[in-house]
Amino acid sequence: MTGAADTVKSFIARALKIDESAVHESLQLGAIPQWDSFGHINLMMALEAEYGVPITEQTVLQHVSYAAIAASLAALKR
Amino acid sequence: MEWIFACSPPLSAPVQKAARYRLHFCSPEIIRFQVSPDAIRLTLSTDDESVWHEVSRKVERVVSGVRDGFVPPEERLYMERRHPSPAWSGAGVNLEQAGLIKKAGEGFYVTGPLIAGLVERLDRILLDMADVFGARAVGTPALIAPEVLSRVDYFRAFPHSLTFACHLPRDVDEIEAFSKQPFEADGSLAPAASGAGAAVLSPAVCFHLYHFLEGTSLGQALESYTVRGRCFRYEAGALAGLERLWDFTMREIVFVGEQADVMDARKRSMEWVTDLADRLGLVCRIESAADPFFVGEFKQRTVFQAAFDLKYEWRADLDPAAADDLAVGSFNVHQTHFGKAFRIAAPSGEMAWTGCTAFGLERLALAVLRQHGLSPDGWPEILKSDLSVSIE
Repeated sequence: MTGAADTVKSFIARALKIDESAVHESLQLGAIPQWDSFGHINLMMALEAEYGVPITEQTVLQHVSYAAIAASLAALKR
Repeated sequence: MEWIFACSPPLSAPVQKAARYRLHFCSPEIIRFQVSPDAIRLTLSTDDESVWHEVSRKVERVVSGVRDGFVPPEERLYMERRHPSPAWSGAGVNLEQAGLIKKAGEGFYVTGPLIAGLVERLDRILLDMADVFGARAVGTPALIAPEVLSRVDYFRAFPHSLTFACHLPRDVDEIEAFSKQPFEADGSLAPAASGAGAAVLSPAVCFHLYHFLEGTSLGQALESYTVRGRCFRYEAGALAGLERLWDFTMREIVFVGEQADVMDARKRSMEWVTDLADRLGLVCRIESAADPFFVGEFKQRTVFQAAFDLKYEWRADLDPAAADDLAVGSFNVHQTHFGKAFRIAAPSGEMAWTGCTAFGLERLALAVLRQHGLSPDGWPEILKSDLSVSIE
């Protein structure tokens, strides 16, 4: 596992309060009980607090999967 | 004494509106307030500067809760009707002075025969919509268990509007003492009666239905129910006549099932209401909306509702200048929030989606009165048709 993937996994696991082993690259909103509407709110709050991604309609709709969050975090690091 | 809370940067119009509603719940020391872009002017119950510092901290909490980084959701207009028919003869009429309602307490009114009859007529029309969906009637109590409200996350989202039911302790001394002196010198109820009890007065009627369906697997892709009941939402200083009641009547048509079927049901209910708006000749619109979440997660929840298109309101004008309008109904989708909370399974095996189309009956009646006047002779035909409830 790469360091970047590790960061994404760890971030999502922390925000959704789940074990890192439950986070995989095809994970998305609605796929597990913890990533429901309120889990998504927590994820967006964590994204704003830890990475400065503002909570807007666009970012809420954009970050609905592991892949989308990974892409955003990668773009922030560039 | 007036105090000024400076706002920097200035508050946008939507943030002013959000702050204005929540300031009613900010501090009991605030007697009056006025919100403008640059400042909030507050009249407090005391000149004590230490009280002002405490109030100022709370005002800061409210303002920052609704402002920081908040981008107002984009408004989506589903329909708008500008009918020429309203005479507006009821606009500006004081219903209490006209003898049509009687204030029974702060935020609750007795409605006389004209308005009570109109409410019944409107409700019967709404039952036609319930029939279209094959909705089955469910009876619900006014009380709801705190545990049920906690499971739907109501305590986190809307703590400010809760109304607790309470009773005296099971203690003969305290019961007898209360019966002899139920009121304090200032007119308030004796403390024995003021504790929160084991029940809350229900803020919505559909919560009971989801609880009723707990642990079930639905037999159909869409099941529809209809519920009418009293609802209780404390609104502090925002309480105002029939526009904003503490205790009001709600008719709901509730949809439970697969995602696509619930979404389609909500859309069809919006189409039905659009047709009803035409038959009622109401100046109104259906537009996207957000629930009045309290300050804690206001921004996140509001943006979430908007992003996923979860809420629309049916809003009717109350005066010809369109300076004042009122939500008389709403069209809501909750995704799997309630399905998950009460383990309701859709036929596919997935958690059920839910949605509800809800109407505030007194508010809908008020919109009719404001636009079409106080005389049934001036009301649209649909309200004069063959319904058995007398309005005399």
